[in-house]
This record gives sequence, structure tokens and C-alpha cells, in this order.
Amino acid sequence: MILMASKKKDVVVKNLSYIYPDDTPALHDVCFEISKGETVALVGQNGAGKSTLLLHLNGVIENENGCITIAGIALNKKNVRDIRKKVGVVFQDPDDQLFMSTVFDDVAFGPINMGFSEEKVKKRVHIALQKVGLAGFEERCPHHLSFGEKKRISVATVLSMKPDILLLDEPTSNLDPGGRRRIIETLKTLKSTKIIASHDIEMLLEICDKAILMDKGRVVGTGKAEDILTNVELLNSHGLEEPTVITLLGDDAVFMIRNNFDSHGIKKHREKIKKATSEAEEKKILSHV
Amino acid sequence: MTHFDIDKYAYLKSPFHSFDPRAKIICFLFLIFSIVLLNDIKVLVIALISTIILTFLSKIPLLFILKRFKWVALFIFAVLIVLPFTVPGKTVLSFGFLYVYQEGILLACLISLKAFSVMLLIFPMLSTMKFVTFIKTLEHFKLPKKLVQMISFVYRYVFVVSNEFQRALRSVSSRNVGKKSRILHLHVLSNVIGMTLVRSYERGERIRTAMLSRGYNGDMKTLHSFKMTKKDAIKCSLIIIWSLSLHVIVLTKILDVYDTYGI
Repeated sequence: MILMASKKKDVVVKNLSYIYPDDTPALHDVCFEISKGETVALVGQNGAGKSTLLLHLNGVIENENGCITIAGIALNKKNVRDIRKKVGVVFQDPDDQLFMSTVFDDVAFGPINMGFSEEKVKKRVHIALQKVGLAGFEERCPHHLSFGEKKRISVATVLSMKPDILLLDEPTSNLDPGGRRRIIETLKTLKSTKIIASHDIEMLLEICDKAILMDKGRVVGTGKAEDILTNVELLNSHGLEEPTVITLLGDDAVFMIRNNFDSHGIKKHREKIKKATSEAEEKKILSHV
Repeated sequence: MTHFDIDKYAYLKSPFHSFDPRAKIICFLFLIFSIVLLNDIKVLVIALISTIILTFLSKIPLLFILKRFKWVALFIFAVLIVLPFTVPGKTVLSFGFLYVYQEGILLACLISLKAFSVMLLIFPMLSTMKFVTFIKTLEHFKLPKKLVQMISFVYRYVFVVSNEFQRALRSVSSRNVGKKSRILHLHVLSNVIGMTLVRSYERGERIRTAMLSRGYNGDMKTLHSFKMTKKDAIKCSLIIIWSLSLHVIVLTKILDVYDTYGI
């Protein structure tokens, strides 16, 4: 029965605990489930255990206590290579992710290791670069790229492996507004299951369905993204802060963020609501008369 | 941040830029070894002229070559100064207790001519291709994988580490460190170097994690796209024939015949 339930879920984590070799506790009894195709926000202050959890899901850190099930397969030493084909990780610093001398070699690294033919590797590289809007960058050296370009290439290095589950660690950190927007738009186009660890709550509200709030290695809140990420009290009690847009706009914020409203759009939307409210009030008064 | 751009002239158009890197490295190495094995000063002069022509054909700016040449020139200058006084033989000149020997002058000239020729040949051979292509050529020649991976990582991360070091130095100078005490400056500088090493180590760990997550198993495979054309074969053959010809000139003593006629 449990197995049947796990098959429907892309990621199932049960009672996962981890202590670093220097005895620093990192994760404590972490439990959650993520369904196929969901985009999940992983939030928490620095040192909450977000990155450690992501590394567990890809098998880079071995799970000693607890159980991780990826697409119905329980992660263990024997199948870690197969699991890595299903789970792609985009690390925070693109210079860590892009270790080859050219963009092509970097994006092709995963598919080559998966044993694909030369033709298939080239096709996958081309498609992945197209998806992040950087087709034609194949022969460029990573150290000649801008930070935003490096971030998008980092996403491409994982997309070329066509993972079922995509793990992203701070995808919008250190990016200018233009670069941040391009990354968000790229992420929106991806249909795979995504787990995004970030402090950019506005971005998470825009693209995530669910949210997991972590504090000191524990899961302290799970639920719909709009419920968790707009809960000012909950966020504040775990060392996080709501984005200014929520403070200013209250309940309208989520709607506006998800519909990509600019200041002009917000004004127009408010006028529309005002008009609708006044019309309704007018009708009410008239009906009384 | 400013860096020395290793691929600066790899995008020009010349007979060597379009040369297949594998054939280019093989024939140039052949020419280099052939020049190093020469011991005839007249033939070495001919070899130097031919290397100047090859360098000229590569279209690499003279200023770039001269800038790189100054270090070799320094070494050759030392050889030219020391050898005429230290290799015994027929005395040509004497300055008090110092004697200049003919054999010393000849040996200094031989070494200088060889060094200049070999150094010049490095430009049409390596500066006419991207460093990445050079790494892939080494990989193609089945050099030890660990060595190739190390060269590849050094090329990829030397700029990243250099950026980190420059940022740390800027931070140090922004706080006026060392303006009063030279010793304190050296102390801080050694800390910065140490921290850069620690950060490099930590980055190495993170890179390893990134590699593992993409299926790394100790073997860094890449795709090669080298293509040998007829033109490449002709270019390669011409350089190898020229390398052999230099030795044929020595063996047949053609230049000595000219000497007998007083030319």
C-alpha cells in the first residue's frame, strides 16, 4: 500500500536526519512528499539545511538515517547512478557548476556520462541551450560569460540530462533584475518536478505550488506556497521576512506577482476593483430604493 | 579584473589558424626537434630565417611576440655573456685575466640561434589555436588523463582564483593596510594568499560535488571534432620535408662548397 502511494509521488522523504562529520547537526527527522510536476519552494534562513537536503536528494550525501524515494525507487548506494540520471542539481555558484573549458563540453558532460551517442549528445546540448535562450554559445569559454549567462548555462547543463526532478539552489541570487526575470521565465517553461531553495520569496510565490519551511534542520511548515510564503507571522518567527510587495498590497500581492503586474498594472487592477465595488454598492442602493 | 588572454590571437585567419591542430603539433614538434639537433651555425641561421617566415605567415602581431620574447632574450643574454669566457679553446681576445674563447662564442651562438628559433615556432604552433583545442589535442594524443584534466582545470579556474585574489587584495588596500609598516603588509599578504588557497580547496570540493551529480566516474569524456583535409596533409608534409632538408644540407655539406668558392 505504501509502495503504491510512493509511486504516485516523485519525491518521498521519511525521517531523514544528518549530522556533519564535525558533529554539526544539519537535518533532523525531515519528512515530506512531492507529487509529479509540482514546483516546490524550500525556504529557511542560512544554515537551515536546505542545501544539505538538496544534496541528499541527488545522492551526493549518503542518507544514513531515514529513507528517500525518488520516482518510486528507494535511494541507496547501488542505484545512486540511476537516481542521478533522474535528479539534476543546479548549484548556487555557477563557477562550481561550469567546470569544463567550453559551454558545449559543460552542457554535454551529463549526456556523455549517460552513455548517449555523439549525435544524441549534440541534439540534447542544442535543445538545452535553446531552452535557456543561449543557443550559439557552444564554443564560448565559461569565464568569458556574464554572471546571468553563467546561471542560465548552469540550468542548461542539467536540462540536457532531461531529469524528472530538478533541484535548484538559489537560482536568482546575485542576479540583476533582467537576469533574474530571464531565469524565472526559463523555470516557468520547464515541466519537470522542481524543488527550489531560495530566499527570493517573491520569485517563489510566482512559480511555486507548494512550500516547505525549514529551520535548524527541521521542517516547520508545509503547505500551499501562497499560504506559507504570505504568512508573515510564521516567516518572522523563523528568521525570514515577507517581501515588501506583501506588506504593501496584502492579499492582492500573490495575484499580482503571479500575473506579472508592474506598477501600472497594479493601479489599473485597483481601479477595476474600485469600479466593480462602487457599481455593486450602487446596485445595492438602487435595489433598496 | 584584467587577465592575460591566452586565446587573444586564436581567431585570426592564416594558413596556421586553419591547420588541423593534431597535424600542426606533430609537424611543428618535428621541426623543433630537427632544429635542436642541428650543430651547424650556417644551417641554424637558415633555420632561424625560415622560422621568422613561418611566424610572419601566422599573422600574430610582432609586438605580442616581442613582449613574450623578452624573458627568453634575458636567458640568452646570460648565455652570451657567460659562455665565451667559460668554454676553453682558442683565445680570441683578452681583458686582463679574462679570456674570450672562440669555442665559447660558437657555442653561445649555437644555443642562442636554437633558442630563438624554437621560441619563435611556439607562436605559429600554439597561439594560432584556442587553448581548449590544444587540451583536446593532448587528449587525442592519449596523454595521461589525469594530466589533461589538471591542465583543463587550471585553464578553467586560474581566472576564477585570480579574481578572488584580486578582490581580497582590493579589500586589503581599501583599508590602508601596509601604509605605515612593510612587515604588517607582508603579514596581511601572506594571510590573503593562505585564504585564497583555502577557498580554492573548498571550491574544489564543491566542483567535485557538481561533477558527481552529473555522473562523473573519474573519466572526463568530451566530443572531438577534428577534421584532417588535403590542405592540412600538404602543409604538414611541407614542414616535415623542410625539417629533414635542414639535416640533408648539413650531411651533404652544400654550404661548405660555397665556402671553398669564397661566397
